[in-house]
Amino acid sequence: MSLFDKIKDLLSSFQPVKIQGPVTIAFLSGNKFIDFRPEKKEQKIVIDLSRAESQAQIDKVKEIAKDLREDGQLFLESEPKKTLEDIESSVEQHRQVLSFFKGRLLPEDYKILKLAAYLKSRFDRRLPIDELLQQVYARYGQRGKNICNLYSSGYFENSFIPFYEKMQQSSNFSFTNFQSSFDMLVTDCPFATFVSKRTTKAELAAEIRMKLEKNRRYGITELNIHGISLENIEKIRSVLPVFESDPLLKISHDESNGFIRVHIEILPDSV
Amino acid sequence: MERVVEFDKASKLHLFALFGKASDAEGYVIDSTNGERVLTRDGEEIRLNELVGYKKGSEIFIKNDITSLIDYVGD
Repeated sequence: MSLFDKIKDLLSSFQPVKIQGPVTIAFLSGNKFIDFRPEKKEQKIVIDLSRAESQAQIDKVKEIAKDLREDGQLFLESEPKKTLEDIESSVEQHRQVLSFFKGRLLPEDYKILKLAAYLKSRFDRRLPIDELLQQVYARYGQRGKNICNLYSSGYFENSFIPFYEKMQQSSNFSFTNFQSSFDMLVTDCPFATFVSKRTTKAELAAEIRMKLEKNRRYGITELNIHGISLENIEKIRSVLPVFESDPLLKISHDESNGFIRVHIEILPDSV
Repeated sequence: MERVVEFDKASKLHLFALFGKASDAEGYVIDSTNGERVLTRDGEEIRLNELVGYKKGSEIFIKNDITSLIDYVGD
């Protein structure tokens, strides 16, 4: 008996309804053992196992549940299901950039990039992201966090795609060459510093100094400092004077709605 | 997106019982046949209250964490 027939059979013993087209099963608490809820795109059959009246009823559902599992369906709790749908929709919104990098990044980095798109989409909707960013950090370490920060500040779209396209024009271009450059960009983040709540002023000043020195050595002529929230903006402002007094640096900043981006240009004489 | 069978917190224990799973005294998910704790793909034991998803593939137990959910998002 097919899964569809088993579902029909189960339903017919409880509710005389005709089912046609796509059917989904949900295990939710309700008032009945079996409830039939026609929806726009599909017909939803809701089962509340706690209301089963006999072992025979449970056995029928067990068979269906096992068939669904064998069919490869994903059993997911309601809240994470919503999260999964939200991630899907964010990935769709960021399809253009993601498509560019699909197959051009290692699978794990591409997975992080999809998470980054989700976090960016939440951030744009002013939804909290701290805990989620922490989950990315716990799983993928600093690299994961850097990819999320770089994505959210537009580096993938505005810097990495043009960088890739430029590299591709070179006669000795290879995937390995790009990978190695990408690896350096996301590990060291030479162009950017992201200020978090946990960064102290001393750590921030040291990081800026270290990156400026390193960039000078490698001929990189800029560094951006990104901060979100008044606390981080204040932190960034408080360390800037020491760099503003350096005649070999030109500093400008954009600030709006709780964001700041400080652009430090390393002047030619110093490169 | 993957085809999803939704369940709520209240139905979790009943649903997993259909698959021969239960929870032990400390709240960890176990295989009812041998009493052994099941593991996530990362090799971690998982408490029933942390378990939010399940899929065939031997058996995959999913935690409520976006880094686990991302595996089920299409490209």
